[in-house]
Amino acid sequence: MSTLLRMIPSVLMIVSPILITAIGGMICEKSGVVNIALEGLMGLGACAAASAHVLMEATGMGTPSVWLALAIGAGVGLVFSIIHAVAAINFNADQTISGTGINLLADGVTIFVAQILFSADRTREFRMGMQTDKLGIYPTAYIALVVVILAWFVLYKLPFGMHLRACGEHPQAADSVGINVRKIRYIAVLTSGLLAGLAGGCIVLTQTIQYTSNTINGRGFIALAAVSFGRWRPVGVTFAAFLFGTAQAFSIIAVNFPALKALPTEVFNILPYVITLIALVLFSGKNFAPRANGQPFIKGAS
Amino acid sequence: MKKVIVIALICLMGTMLFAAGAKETVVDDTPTIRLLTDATGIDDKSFNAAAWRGIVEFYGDTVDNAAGRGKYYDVVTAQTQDMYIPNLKQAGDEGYDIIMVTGFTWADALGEVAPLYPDQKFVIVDVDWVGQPNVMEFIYSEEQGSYLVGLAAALQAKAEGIANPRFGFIGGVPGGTITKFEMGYVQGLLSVFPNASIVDYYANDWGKPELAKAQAKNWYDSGVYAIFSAAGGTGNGTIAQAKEYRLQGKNVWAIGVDSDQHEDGIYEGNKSAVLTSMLKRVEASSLYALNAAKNGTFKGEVVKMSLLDDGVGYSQANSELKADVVKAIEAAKADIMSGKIKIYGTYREALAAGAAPAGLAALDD
Repeated sequence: MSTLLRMIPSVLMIVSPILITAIGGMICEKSGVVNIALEGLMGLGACAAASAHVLMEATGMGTPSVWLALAIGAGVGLVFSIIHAVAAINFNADQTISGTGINLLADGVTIFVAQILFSADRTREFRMGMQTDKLGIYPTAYIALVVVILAWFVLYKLPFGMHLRACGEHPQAADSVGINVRKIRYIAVLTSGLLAGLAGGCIVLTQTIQYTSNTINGRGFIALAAVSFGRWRPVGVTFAAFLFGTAQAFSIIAVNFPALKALPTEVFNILPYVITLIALVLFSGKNFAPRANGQPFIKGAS
Repeated sequence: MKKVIVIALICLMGTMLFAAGAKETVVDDTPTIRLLTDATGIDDKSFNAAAWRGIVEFYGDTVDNAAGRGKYYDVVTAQTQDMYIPNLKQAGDEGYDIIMVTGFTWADALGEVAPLYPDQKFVIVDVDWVGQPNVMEFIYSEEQGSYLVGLAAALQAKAEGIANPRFGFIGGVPGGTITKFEMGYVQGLLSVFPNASIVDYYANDWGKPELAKAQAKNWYDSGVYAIFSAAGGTGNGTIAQAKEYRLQGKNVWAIGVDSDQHEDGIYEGNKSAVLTSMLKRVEASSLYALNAAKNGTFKGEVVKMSLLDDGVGYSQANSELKADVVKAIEAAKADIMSGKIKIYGTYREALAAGAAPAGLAALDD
């Protein structure tokens, strides 16, 4: 049991970035724009945060460097999400295509930047990333908590949140009562970019020592899955992110129990995916997606 | 119109990705080589980095100033395994003297492509079962180097007077090659502490540091003294955790692999959380193959690299590694070379000889 308790900080470390990204993706889809660029935006944020931290750390800046690096990562995520916003909202482009474009772009840009800064396909390793608190928990867990609560409050308790949800359900109706659909969608897309960049920074600063092309490793897509699996609700998304994270952590601790070790390791490695599949089957049924999700809004068209 | 702009933008992004330099034609008889790597690329501080270092060295360049890159040698990174065969075929069509691939994940792809280009020289490291007349295969006695780092960890623990130290091993994808690392390490540990408690874990991935980090934290918390990771990029997680804990004053160590990871482990001043690294000098393979091509002695064969030809070893970069420990390791090194110490490279053999405990997750081929 103590082994299980000891794993909680690790689970939080793994879950937090996925959760932060997923909440961003949820906000974006709630407004009617699908953002499959989360993976790429996380990579850009992670690369920016790692590079910034390495360079600032070398100047002897100390702890503030980590926080500044996180902010830079979030900022870079936001900047690159503008591409998606312009393509999806102004040009009414196919959102899958522009999202894929950013994902491809991120692969190239991060390596290119690393080459310029460090003459390598990866950033130089930093000395010390984020520090844990007394409980062994990284600040990223608290950031994730704040993000979830804020998202819930804004979406469900503020008029702005209702406007945003209206844009995702029936943009024409929202438009007819004077809501600026494009503006709201812009805010939603940029928020998702900001959060994905932030999460990328969280990953690189809590889980490894440098950014490589492998750092994100599909977690943007896991976050995307968590959005639909969590039925586009903050609580559901949180639950989904924890399910993915816990299943992954379970594969780590399982080897420490002799009774479980008798099973082939493959069992534990497929566990996260099996649990996801089962959960999807169990909880499927009604379509919970925002009705206008992924559809461009053309003013005046019905 | 707007759609056209979007499509044009996306095409532009695409070209940026593939805008790597093309090879120029070379007129002199210096051999040309293309290195094909897996997703981690040549800056993995490990395996691919070492292969690249050997290539660069052959042409009298340095990694920071690779002047002949694009003229005599270049590198292509495969982001996914389905790119292995296309990358091999493309390199074959472009006419390099040598095409070099690193790691056993390439073996199947190479076995398929090599017969299609019978006049093309191929080099693969870590594999001895491709068996084509145009493929030079290198295998390393990783168990020897791993034995030395296991010995280092155990002797260091003993010198520091740690009671009942525990030790951990984190592997990437299980298989014969990684088993050699684990078996050597385990035998090195057991030579000092015959009843040492050893835990092991395979992440089944070379690029998931978060798994290694979570496992390392879990183990360090439960009293593990040193963890040896032979897991590529996944091992970065172990180093990250060891750095954090050492900064907090806990006496735990990470052990690096393939290249000297001393620098990666520096957390404060000159203090590194990497006690030592098991060195696997893949650069020796690059040099051997290029020299063979230059001298016209290149043939399909299996070349074995061991302590004797300096193919494997250990790092003394960490000044906290005690002098007595280094002395004892050097003695063991001589004994391995003379054959006095016998090290088993497979779990089957080690178990049969009683040199490794039962219940480890190591897999033989």
